[in-house]
Amino acid sequence: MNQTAVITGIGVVTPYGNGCDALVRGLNSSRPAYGPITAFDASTWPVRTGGWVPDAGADALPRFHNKLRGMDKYVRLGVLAAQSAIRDSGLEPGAVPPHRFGAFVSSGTNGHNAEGLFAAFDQARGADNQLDLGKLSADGLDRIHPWWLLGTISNNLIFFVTHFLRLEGANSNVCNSAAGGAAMLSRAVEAVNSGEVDAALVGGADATLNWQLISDLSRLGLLAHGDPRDVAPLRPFTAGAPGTVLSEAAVFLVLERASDAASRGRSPLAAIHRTASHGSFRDPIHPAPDGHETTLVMDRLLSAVAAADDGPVSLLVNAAGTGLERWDASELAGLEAAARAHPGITCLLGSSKPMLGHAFSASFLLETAATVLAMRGACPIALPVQPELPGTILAAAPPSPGRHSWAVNLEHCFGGNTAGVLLHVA
Amino acid sequence: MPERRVVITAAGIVCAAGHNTDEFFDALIAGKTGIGPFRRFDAGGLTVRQGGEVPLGCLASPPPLPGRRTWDPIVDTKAVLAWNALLQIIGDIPENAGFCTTMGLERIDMDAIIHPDPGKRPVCPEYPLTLFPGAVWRSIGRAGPVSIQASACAAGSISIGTAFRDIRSGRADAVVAGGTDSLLFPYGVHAFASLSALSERNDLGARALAPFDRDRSGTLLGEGAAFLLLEERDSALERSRPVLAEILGFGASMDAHHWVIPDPTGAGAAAAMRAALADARLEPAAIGYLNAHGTGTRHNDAMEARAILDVFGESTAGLPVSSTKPFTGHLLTAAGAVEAVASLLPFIRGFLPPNLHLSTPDPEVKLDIIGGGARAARPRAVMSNSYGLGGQNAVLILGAPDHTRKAGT
Repeated sequence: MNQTAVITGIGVVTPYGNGCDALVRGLNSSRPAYGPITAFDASTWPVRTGGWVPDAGADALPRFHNKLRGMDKYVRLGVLAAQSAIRDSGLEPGAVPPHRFGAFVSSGTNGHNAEGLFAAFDQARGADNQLDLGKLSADGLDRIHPWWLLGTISNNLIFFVTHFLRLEGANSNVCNSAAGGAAMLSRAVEAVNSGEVDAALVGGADATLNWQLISDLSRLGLLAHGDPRDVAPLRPFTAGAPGTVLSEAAVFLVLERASDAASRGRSPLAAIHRTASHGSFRDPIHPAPDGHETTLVMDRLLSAVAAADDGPVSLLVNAAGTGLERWDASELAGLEAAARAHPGITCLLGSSKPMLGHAFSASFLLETAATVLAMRGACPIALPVQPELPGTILAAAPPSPGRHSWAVNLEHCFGGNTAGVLLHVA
Repeated sequence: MPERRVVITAAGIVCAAGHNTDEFFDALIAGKTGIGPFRRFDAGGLTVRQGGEVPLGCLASPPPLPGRRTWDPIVDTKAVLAWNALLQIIGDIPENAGFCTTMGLERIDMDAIIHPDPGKRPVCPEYPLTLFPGAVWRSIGRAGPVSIQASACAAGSISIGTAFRDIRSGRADAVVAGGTDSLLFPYGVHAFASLSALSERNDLGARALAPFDRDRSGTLLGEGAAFLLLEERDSALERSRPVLAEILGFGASMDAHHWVIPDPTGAGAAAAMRAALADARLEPAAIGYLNAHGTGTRHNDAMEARAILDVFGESTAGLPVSSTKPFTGHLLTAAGAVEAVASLLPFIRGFLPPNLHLSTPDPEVKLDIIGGGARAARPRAVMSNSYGLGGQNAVLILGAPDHTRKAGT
């Protein structure tokens, strides 16, 4: 058995549209996927820039739409992406027995449907205008639909995906935002490589443009405020970068063993050579100033490159590039330190966030998909504003498409929780 | 290269039936339930007025987030419960251990909605929960990957199973895995009662939660946290770490059947048990005790009994089974972690925990349910089942500390 997990299918839904073609067109344009929020009135919000995805209606999900009523948008987008990924993989229904097909989902912080509670709060308002718990339990609770609670549970997407697509194998669902996709990819690779499953669907989805998540992240100082014209495009690794921009997205990848893909005549899109993660948590929000976490993750990945390829290697790095000065400085320091320890590898620095925005719990896998497409020459992963890199051994990724044999996708999460995947295209 | 083996070297727990493993094990052996009337809030207007509540007054608060608010036992119950379970094993945790935990309803901290800061509109400050695991890791000076498992009521077992696989495959050497959860506030109780999942037999007291009983009427909610320290066996032995048990196998499956109701055939539950047995390379007859998910609802218990019969066949007759939820209540995402700790009891104390409140065994449940008191036994391997809303199923198999694998396996 050739124990190398390979990607054989990609399904994506982004503000650029539904599918890989729309994503590739977008990444080849000079237009970010995000812009002024127009889908609802955000004029009084400090954050007025985002990447909106229209909800998937009955036309997009004709067989399933009825069953998805009452679900958050991210569930519908996720189902749409999962269907596309299976279709893209060329796997015929029944080609993999249901109990041998796994599902691994990063559902992150989704939906935020607190509006469903407001009627109860109004009913339970006390004399001081605060919630009166006695009134809440006596009069307010009946104003809440019992399914409201079920709608908040973070494993709804994995249920609907596995229910609709008849996947009954190993599974897991995490929700630690940006690093969640990395955890699920790592688990899916392990499940495929160990023979626990024959194929795995791994993905994430997030509908980030809602007042609750924006409020939370804005209060943490993570989001770019102000006029959208000043915010876009994201300018990671440059002085005065205003912060990050949220985007909505859903993505799924189909993983199989290389030998299984070959036996059905399917050329893999890319092989997953290694995953790595680390968190130092020196600060609850920000990564370590010296980039310690990035250094550690990149060192593992670069060591794997060096072990597999003894020639001079050019490595595309799709950096986290959040557009947060402190985070970018940390990442740059970490990349620099790791690259210096591996002088035979030239790291080409790019980031897909300036084009895609930050898709939160979907970000790692969305950017992994973008990296794969870039490796195959379909689109660039570059930086819109070239950073000054004095004295660095890092090079800027080319702004035009080109093929890359090796690439790394990196992501940062709260507390410096950092993860990366090393991809190879033969 | 020989396969890496994974052992449990420490366990911490806080639940209604005990504030540490010793208290919890004592309660399991004595048959002493932690379920009682809710005291933290006025439940007079609710149809369900009891559960597995943990007195919070004696618990320590986690270290505050720097520059941010402190953790309030009422508002941040899950964080406080987790911190107190972790405190019991902090000294044992290696520097680079990972941390995998559940955090209950991840997206909305309903406690904070119901207890808003004075003068401010209700908000959903989810980020403290998202930040909690990293903040805890930072406060105890550990560094390693952190993840939050969100697989409904199977999450605790999947958290442990994922850590097991991470260590076995060499991606980690040590991981603290488990979960924390609490829905014990008016809306949480009301919402589950609205789903017809809870027993409204307040008149029966704790006996209202009676898994596998003919007259079972639903489950009761509990709260708590439990964490296991998992380590690679050889490195643990080199460091002279005590081995409480070995993790032999983990299996997971999806029902892919219904959003809320388990597949009545038990096919998904059976698939997870078979996957765990295959992973452990054990025959069903090797399992000497089964800690059932056993929620006490009609749907779950009937399904689970059917699945156990399907998997164990003739071996079912010699398989003692119990649910420990009557001791703790249903801890939702933390249930699998708490029940993994309960599954250590046979290895550490030589007893199988009883299935409390079994008055009239359900004739449809053709299992050896451990009625009465704890049963003295020292099985070589035990199985712990967890099933979640949305159809996620997870099964762990634990082995005695001196478990010997067959040559060549």
